[in-house]
Amino acid sequence: MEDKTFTHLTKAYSPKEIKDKEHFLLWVRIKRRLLYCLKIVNYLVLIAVGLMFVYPFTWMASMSLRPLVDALSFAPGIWVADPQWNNYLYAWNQARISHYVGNSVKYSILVMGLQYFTLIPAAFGFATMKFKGKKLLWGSKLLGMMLPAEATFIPVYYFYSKMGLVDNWFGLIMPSLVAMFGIFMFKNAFEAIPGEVLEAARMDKAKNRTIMLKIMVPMIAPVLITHLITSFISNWNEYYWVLVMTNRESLRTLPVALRGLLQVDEGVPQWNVAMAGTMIQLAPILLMYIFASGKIKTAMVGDRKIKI
Amino acid sequence: MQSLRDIGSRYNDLQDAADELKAALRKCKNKEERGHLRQKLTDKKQELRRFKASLAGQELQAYKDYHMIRREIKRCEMLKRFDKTGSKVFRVINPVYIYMFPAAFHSVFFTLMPFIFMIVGAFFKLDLVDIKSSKFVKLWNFYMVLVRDDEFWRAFGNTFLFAVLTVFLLMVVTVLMSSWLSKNTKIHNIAQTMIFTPHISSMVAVGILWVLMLDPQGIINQILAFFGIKGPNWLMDSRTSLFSVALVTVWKSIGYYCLIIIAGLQSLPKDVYEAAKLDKAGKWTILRKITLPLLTPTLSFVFIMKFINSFKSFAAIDVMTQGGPQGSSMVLGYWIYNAGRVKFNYGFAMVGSIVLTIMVAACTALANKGFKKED
Repeated sequence: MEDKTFTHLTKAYSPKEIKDKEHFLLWVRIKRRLLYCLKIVNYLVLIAVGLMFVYPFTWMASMSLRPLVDALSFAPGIWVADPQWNNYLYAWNQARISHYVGNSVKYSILVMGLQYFTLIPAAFGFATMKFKGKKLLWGSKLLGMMLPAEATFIPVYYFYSKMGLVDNWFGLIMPSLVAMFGIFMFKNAFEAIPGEVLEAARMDKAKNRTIMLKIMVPMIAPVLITHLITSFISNWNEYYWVLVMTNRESLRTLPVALRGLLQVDEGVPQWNVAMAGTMIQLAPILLMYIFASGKIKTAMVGDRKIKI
Repeated sequence: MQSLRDIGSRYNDLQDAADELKAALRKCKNKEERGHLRQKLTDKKQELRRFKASLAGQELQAYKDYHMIRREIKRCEMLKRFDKTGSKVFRVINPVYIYMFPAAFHSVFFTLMPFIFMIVGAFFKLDLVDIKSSKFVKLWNFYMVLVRDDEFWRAFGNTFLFAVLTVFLLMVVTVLMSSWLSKNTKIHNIAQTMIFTPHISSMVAVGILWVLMLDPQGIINQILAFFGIKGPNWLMDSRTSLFSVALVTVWKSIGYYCLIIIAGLQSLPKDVYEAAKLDKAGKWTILRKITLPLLTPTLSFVFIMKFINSFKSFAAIDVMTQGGPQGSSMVLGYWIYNAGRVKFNYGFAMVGSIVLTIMVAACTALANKGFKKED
């Protein structure tokens, strides 16, 4: 009896079983290695796909530093043997990019500075107050969002020309000041604040402007920052509206000017200079993106999730 | 040595006198008298200054304190007056109308008035320089555009084709890519960041960049030549121009839609996936049977919005093809711009605008109906 139990314990594996086990362990090891390799390959492919989206910009930077002859060969390499910083100087001075950069900065700063005076009260009104014609106004705002600017620009241009607002800074920034996107965003943020806060403030006989400025606006500070980032990017890149509403060069912003660099009367455009101009246009946003990519990504994507 | 209270009373007396003189000066119209009063006022100010100069140490501090107190009182009085007038105004008008004024003005000026102008203007041969000389032509504009203009119908078809192309390409690419990218390792994060880059750069810059890349001798054709394929002249060939522009817009917005879908993916309930793992479901099955059905509301919303928005793609067309060889990449938005701002046929442009608006409105209405059913 004792013997039997003993053999039962010691002869746990027969030679064949041991061989199988070894095979199995080997297979596991190989599989693990393979998976590890696959993981690395996966990462490499990921980076390669990522490069598909970044490489053109790097190539553009390299193009902007080449002499014209090299630029016209469209060689895909990135390294430039002797960088021609003169291209940037030429773009800045001769192509008058400096002037357009000034206009772009002015345009974005004007819009970004002034829009909150109109956006926040409107959003506050829509979110927390009752008044006659609220539904009508909201409906017309929605209609305005649906109506494409491509369809309405001629009537607006006509009104502008009658009021002397064509080629005028105020006329240029006016539609962006009450952009529906911003109202939506702030309205959502205001509505997310618990109603008790509002009630308590009203019980203490706080005025509407006090509630808005002293209580609600500090509470939505993150949304404000988000909106600031998105509105800077969209205003800096604004193209259609500026193109349509200006006739003189003195008010045109950088994107419109870049478009002009491509239009030459004869021959090919000076690609290296055009690329330098484009780099100047991209620089602020790309720099911002390099240093605060996480913030910008969440700002551009995160808040639209609420609506979905 | 005076007591500090004496300093206060003397300061207040002097300041009161100065204020009285100021008020009198404001009311007074007589020139001679004004000069007289002004002289008196400067005298009083001089006296005050001399008084201040005569003080030192603790006394000077007291003087400064009284000065501050007086200013504070004045500020409070002003605020009170302001509040009184404010409440008088707000008793009559609800303050919300002041808050809403810019929004309402914007609505009227940029939405309602153009809307009416657009519909009325379509029946006129418009002359914007002298609006009174424009003629009522009944349906002539509609006839010319909808019946006689082949280019318009081409633009109309292209608009739909462009929207379908972009949305289809985006849908396929982003769904596959986002399920691949949806992890939180460092490399995945870097890849997401890289893919997102084109979205924040302007369409003009991206357009210029791709004009170069899609040049007959450009990079894309060099790569194709490496594999022994002779690439077409992407943007200048009437067969490929619209497709190329669609490709570029897709390239630009892949990152954005990927991130939206990833955000949607990461907010899906975890327990469903655990259950699927227990049942030993394969990755493909999980994607097909669980992820896609759960994600459908997000996906459909996003892509219908994209569909509608791609009716409005102006910058891409304008930079890259300007309507393309023989109108092959002309879309409705660009056609309107061309008719109105380049050829000055405002009536035609109005008709085009109406068609575009109807298209957008119909799509939006359809989308809304679909969403209401799902809820």
